Amino acid sequence: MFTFTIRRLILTVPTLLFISFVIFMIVKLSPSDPTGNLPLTIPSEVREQIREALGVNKPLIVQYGLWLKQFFWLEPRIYLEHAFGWDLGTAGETRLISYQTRSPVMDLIMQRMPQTLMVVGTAYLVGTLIALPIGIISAYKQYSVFDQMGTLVSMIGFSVPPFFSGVLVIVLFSVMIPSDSYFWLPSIYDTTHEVTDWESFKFQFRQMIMPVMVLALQITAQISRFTRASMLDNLNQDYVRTARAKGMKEKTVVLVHVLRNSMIPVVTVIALGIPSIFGGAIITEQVFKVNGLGQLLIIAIQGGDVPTVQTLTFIFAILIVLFNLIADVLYGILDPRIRYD
Amino acid sequence: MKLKPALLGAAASLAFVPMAMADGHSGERGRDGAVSIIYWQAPSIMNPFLSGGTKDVEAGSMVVEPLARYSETGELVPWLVDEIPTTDNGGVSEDLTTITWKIKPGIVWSDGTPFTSADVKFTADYCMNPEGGCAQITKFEGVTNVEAIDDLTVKVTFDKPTPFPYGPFVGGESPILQAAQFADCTGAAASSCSEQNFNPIGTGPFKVVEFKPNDVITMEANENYREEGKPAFATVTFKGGGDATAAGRAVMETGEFDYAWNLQLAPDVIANMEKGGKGKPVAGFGPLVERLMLNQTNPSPDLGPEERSVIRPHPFLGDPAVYKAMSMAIDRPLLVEIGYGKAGKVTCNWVPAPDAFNSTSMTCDKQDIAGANKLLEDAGWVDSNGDGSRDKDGVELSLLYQSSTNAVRQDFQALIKQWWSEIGITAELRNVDSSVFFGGDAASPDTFQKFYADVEMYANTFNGTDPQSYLANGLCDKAPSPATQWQGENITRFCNEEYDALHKKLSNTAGLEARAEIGKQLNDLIVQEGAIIPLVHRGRLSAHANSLGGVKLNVWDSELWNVADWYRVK
Amino acid sequence: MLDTPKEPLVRVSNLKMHFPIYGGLLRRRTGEVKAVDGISFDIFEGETLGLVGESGCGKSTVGRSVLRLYEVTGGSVTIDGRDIAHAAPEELRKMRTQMQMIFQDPQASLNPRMKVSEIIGEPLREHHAGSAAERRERVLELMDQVGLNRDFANRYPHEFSGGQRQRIGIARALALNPKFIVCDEPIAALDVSIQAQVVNLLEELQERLGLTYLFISHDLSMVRHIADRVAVMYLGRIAELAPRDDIYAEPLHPYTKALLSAVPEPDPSVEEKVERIILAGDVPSPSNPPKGCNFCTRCPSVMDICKRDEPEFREVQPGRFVACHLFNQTT
Repeated sequence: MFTFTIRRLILTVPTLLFISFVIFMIVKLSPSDPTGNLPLTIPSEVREQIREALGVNKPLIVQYGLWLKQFFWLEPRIYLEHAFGWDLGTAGETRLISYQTRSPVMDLIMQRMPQTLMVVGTAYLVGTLIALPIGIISAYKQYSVFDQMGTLVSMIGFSVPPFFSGVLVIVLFSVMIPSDSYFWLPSIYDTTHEVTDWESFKFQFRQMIMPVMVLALQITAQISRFTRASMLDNLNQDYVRTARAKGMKEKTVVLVHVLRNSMIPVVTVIALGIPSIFGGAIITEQVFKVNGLGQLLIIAIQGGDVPTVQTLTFIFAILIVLFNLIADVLYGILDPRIRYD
Repeated sequence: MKLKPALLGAAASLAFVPMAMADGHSGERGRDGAVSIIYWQAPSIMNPFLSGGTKDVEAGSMVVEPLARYSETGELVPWLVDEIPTTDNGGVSEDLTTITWKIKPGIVWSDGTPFTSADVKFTADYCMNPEGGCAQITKFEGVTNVEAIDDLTVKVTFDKPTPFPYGPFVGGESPILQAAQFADCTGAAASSCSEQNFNPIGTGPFKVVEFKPNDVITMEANENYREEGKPAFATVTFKGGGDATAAGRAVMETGEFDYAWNLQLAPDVIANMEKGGKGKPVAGFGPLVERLMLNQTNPSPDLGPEERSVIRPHPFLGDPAVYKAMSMAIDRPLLVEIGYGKAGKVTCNWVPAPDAFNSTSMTCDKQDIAGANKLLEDAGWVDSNGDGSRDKDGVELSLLYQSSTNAVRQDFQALIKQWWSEIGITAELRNVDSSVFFGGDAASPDTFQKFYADVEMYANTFNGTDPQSYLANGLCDKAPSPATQWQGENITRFCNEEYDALHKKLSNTAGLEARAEIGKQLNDLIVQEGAIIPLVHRGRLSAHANSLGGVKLNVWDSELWNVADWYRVK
Repeated sequence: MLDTPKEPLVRVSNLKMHFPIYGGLLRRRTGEVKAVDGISFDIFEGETLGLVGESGCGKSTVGRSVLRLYEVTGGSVTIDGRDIAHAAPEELRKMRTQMQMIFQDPQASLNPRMKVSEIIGEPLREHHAGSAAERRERVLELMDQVGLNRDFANRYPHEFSGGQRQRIGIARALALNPKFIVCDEPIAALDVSIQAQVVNLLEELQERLGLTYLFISHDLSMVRHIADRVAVMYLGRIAELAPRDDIYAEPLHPYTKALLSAVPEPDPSVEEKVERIILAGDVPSPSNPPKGCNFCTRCPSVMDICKRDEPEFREVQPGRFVACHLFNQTT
């Protein structure tokens, strides 16, 4: 397992380099212009000067090389300097700068990370926690009323896009319910809010309810279906009959024998979904103004902010590659039949 | 508010004083607590010189201020100076090459240091540095020298007589930066100064506490603000992001925010939101006009890249009967109603505002299909081959009509296509994503500058109240072509000697009335010669909470220009 | 063993196991598969009852129903004087210590995520209070009993060969000292070379521990080897039930005759002389069995009455039961 992990890690280096190049070329060759969103009152010579100052006009390979150097060499050193107070001689070097905000891309990402993790991460957790019991009970009581309800909820989760469900809950809980009511919920997420005491925690809880539940609906739909299918696969296995024949309690049969085996694929699916937490939820973040990484990405795309788009997508690529590896390793740990050596 | 009528410019004082008295809101600074503003486009930076985006300029305008700015009526008002320099008061030299600003004494930056002419000079140097990529460089066009005569006097010299010298340091796009703060941020270093660009020190009513780019800005009252008892609000939350619908909803329906900017929404959506009862929309009209641009060159795909949309003339759009009929067939009041509602007005002019420049020589508020048909008939355009489009000498009245992707524009395209088909002109519709359409990529065939179509539709406007440089968009030498990498503002490639001569005259004329007269002539000329078919005079619609007082929607400057006067209605 | 005083340990009477079929848009019940349709037999303490039949005749369902791994549709099952078929779940769970099952597929019937010691030890933990060390000792003892190396206690099932896995299954079944074990085709999935080992192990354990087996198999020669009495099933019913020697020497039911004629003889000279009875047609669907005798569609000696009336399952000679109209007339 260890050598397998090391081998895979080494293999990810060329993979990631290739991915970064492809992303760079896609982003660069797409028809976008960092000055495209400026008002038409700004004349073209000025736009040209702005592009020149941003370095957009340099040869592509030079820009790519610079990005590689900044991302892999300069930014990690700056991170280490910040973390440990060392001096690695980064002062004076030009960091990876966003075209839109003229500030370091990494700082933007670090600034966005907490709210994204808070909202999307909580949604993932909540969604998973709801999904598991639903999936287990649905499979155990296949075709029961509960199962049919679970199927219905999953269908809704799969088919209703968040720009609909999000707006729907806003209309229900922010518009139709008067704002002095106990059940009223804010439609716009306050990213500056800090939890310091019970009251502020309650506010944080309230403002998270809608975005978290809208996202969790989708996550629940996927994971509960997957859990159900995996449970059904295992419920009909001979070893389950064996467990019953042994005279095990029904709870033990389902929760120990069936569940433990059913969880193997489910856990890997959950692990594979974790990078999407960092990717943020572009639409839901927009609807509730959570302004996390998803919103950063979409604004950067709209604004032709190549360094931000490039860096964000590449970080997502790293996470996806990494969590694929983690899922494989988890599979090996959970399922004794699988050995990678 | 302490009244100093003698010190205020005459026009400004008339506009300013009675309202301030009528409001009758005064008290100590910060008495009204928190105010929240939502912009559905999130500000990326607080330094307008590095962005040029409206959202950034307006967010910045709460902190950094110009020497003079435009009021909601489009008049110049002194801001950090005592009066507007003119030839009459000697502030502008007789030969129109210099302007001298006298800074109001006693102004300090939010950090307590005095505001001096050195800051003003520094700002000019900062923006005019060729390596800085200053987005507002046009404000400094023709400036040869900015000189600090003494601590409170700045003299700006132009390279030629400049009848309208109010470019530098006027309006939200050209505020003054603090020299001490930005000293190390000039030229190529401009981009790396994120701390300064996010937290500029200003003279405005608020100062930045925390700036989260593309997300939210937290501000608090500037304790060194020059006016006693202002601003009424102690803190500002300036949220960005989302969409116009959500912003409008947050102000008018849920009441979570006090002010929402630029609600580009369908009229019925606005009307429904208003029923929420928490706030109301306000409209203001600048010079923004949704228009059809008619290509004066031949955009035929059969031509080579050096000739397409370069060589003249267009096969049929030069015929007055054709472009007049095209204009007559359009039902402008209907377009206003379905597209913009309260935020739109019918216009026949390219320059519909300020009022002095709004020509009244043409009318176009009645659709006349029959008249348009007759016009074409008389000019010899008949459908001889029965394919649905009129033709003459083998030229078919069939055209490509493009625009950017936008729901209202696609509605307009469909309607206009229908009307034109009723007069025997077939139109093929096309829409291009706005980031590509307006993106200016010389390699893309889909930009509005390249104009590989017969007709295109978009909106444009100008900043400030003087249209001279905007009217220059009709000059022959501003036409985009391969020789200029398709840069240039004369999108229709209009070229008329009379127009060029008249514009030259405008650039040498001082005095508002005379300038307005020439401006109207230029406007009439370009419209009557068939380069532009104006459709809708678009206003800007913003919304404020019923409990927010003092809002005066200003389309000539930052919408937040008078945020110092905002207060809570009790 | 036949001469020991006989006491029925297991008594099955008129056992029915029908599986519903759902269909249509609303998943209504549209029919049922009569996998087991009214069978009765006794198994005496210490004996082995062989249950044979073609694939799909319902013999595995009988095995599972007897241990109530299915909720039976009708009839009763009494083991050691207690009614299994209608016991409350908790009561039933306690009774499971008395009865165990060895499954056909040793791979699938062992939980892949449990170690051997866990698999064998789990029922001990569930039913006996003994300390961890005692349980551990018992597990190792059981492994010895079935001939597994003690060192393998911490391995997972997939690390074993088929025969070893079946030994694990047997050890697991023995863990609680049951009286009655249903062996559901325990050797069908094994190599022929291993089959004999496992069967010998079962016999040896029976002798040592006094176990009672219901041995389900389609392998007639293996049943002849191990069983004391043999029941032949056809389409959810027992066609014939008789002591082993009688049934192999002189099968009564036409189906039994056909079945036994298919057994290859080890002696080539005998093999040549064997007259094979080839049955025509396919086994009818258990969801729609024929009227009358369920064998009437394929029976070489079919009579009119067979298509009309269901033959009674009755004792035609001492200890020999047959369900066939041929014998109704003779008595």
